[in-house]
Amino acid sequence: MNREEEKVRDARLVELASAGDLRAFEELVRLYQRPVFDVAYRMVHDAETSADITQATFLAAFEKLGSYDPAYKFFSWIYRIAINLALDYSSRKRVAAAAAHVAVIDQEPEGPHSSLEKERISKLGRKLLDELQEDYRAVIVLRHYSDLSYEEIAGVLDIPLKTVKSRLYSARQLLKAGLQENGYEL
Amino acid sequence: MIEDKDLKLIHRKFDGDLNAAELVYVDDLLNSSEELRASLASLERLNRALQAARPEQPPSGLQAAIMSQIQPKPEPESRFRPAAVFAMAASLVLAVTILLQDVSEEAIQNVAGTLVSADVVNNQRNEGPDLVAQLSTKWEADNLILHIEPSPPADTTVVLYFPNQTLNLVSGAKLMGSEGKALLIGDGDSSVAVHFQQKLPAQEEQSITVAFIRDGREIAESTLTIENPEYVSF
Repeated sequence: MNREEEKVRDARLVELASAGDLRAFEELVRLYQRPVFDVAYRMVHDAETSADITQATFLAAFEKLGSYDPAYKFFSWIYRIAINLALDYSSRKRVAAAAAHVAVIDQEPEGPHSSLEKERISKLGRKLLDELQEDYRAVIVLRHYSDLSYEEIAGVLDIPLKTVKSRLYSARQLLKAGLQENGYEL
Repeated sequence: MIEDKDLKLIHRKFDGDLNAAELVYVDDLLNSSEELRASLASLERLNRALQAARPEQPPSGLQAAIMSQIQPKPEPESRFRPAAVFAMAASLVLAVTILLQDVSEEAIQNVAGTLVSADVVNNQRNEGPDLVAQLSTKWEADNLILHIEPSPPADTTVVLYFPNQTLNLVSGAKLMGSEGKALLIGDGDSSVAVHFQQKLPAQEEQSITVAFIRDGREIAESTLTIENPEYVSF
């Protein structure tokens, strides 16, 4: 199913859910719980918090179904709710969460050399992502993990296309600089 | 020294955002600049570094946990005035009657329904329909021919959904989804021929939901019924 077909399917499910069909809403939950959880996880890097954000996202979506404009893609709309909740969480918990992640990284056991190296770059990438300012982190998550186009990111974050491109460019430059500072030649 | 504008083009190439002409231009740039090739390669390495972080699985039971907190909404009060409901019903009856008269003259087997604005269907507005189209059906051998009159505008897509059928051959439209139950008609087309995977049971009704989509929004829909849908050749 391509994205246009998904859009038609989702518009129909939202219409049914708005009319009180809970099975239609459950289908939307089934379809989108994984990508919403994934976006939340990439933003906050904590499984329990990501599950909470995912739940809060769908509860908010259900409450706001009446205000959903089918001119926009459902996933853009629900990603926007999830990102806003994740950003809200991040802004409140940023310092504590970052400190906790660093502590966890230091305590984890070492594995074989190749997997250790992979693990190290994975953790470093995650740490650098955490250190990005939130609007930069959001575009990186939506582009590199959710595989959204520039237009779709602009729709989710409600920012101009030009801003998407410039934030993505700047965020990548910062990430590359961070990796290079830690000994990775890019 | 790489120019900033060229570097931005490399990012757009990496993101699949270039059109055909830009791609030719950028590929040409890449062929002539080792620095740009290195930049593209470094973007790919950055992506791999980011992707190296394993995705976390959502906890099992998340869907059930969400649904346990969802409460059915109370039925919204209808904003329809009884007079408006009566007027709309009367206009539908009239439209169907006119269509049925056409049926006998044109030897079309069965026709039903008139599309009305989705807002009216959802009881959210009490004016008359602002979009009216008619769907006619007839059998040719064992193909069902559906015709929409007037033709949908070029910016409007029509979706036909057959809830209890699986389609296996279609012309003039595109099959949607994996279940073979829906068709998408676009580009100003107005006629489509469909062949059902199984012969329709005699004496049973076949319902078809027709939806008009514009700018990703359903602007009109109606569910029509073909009665006694046996294969008939004309």
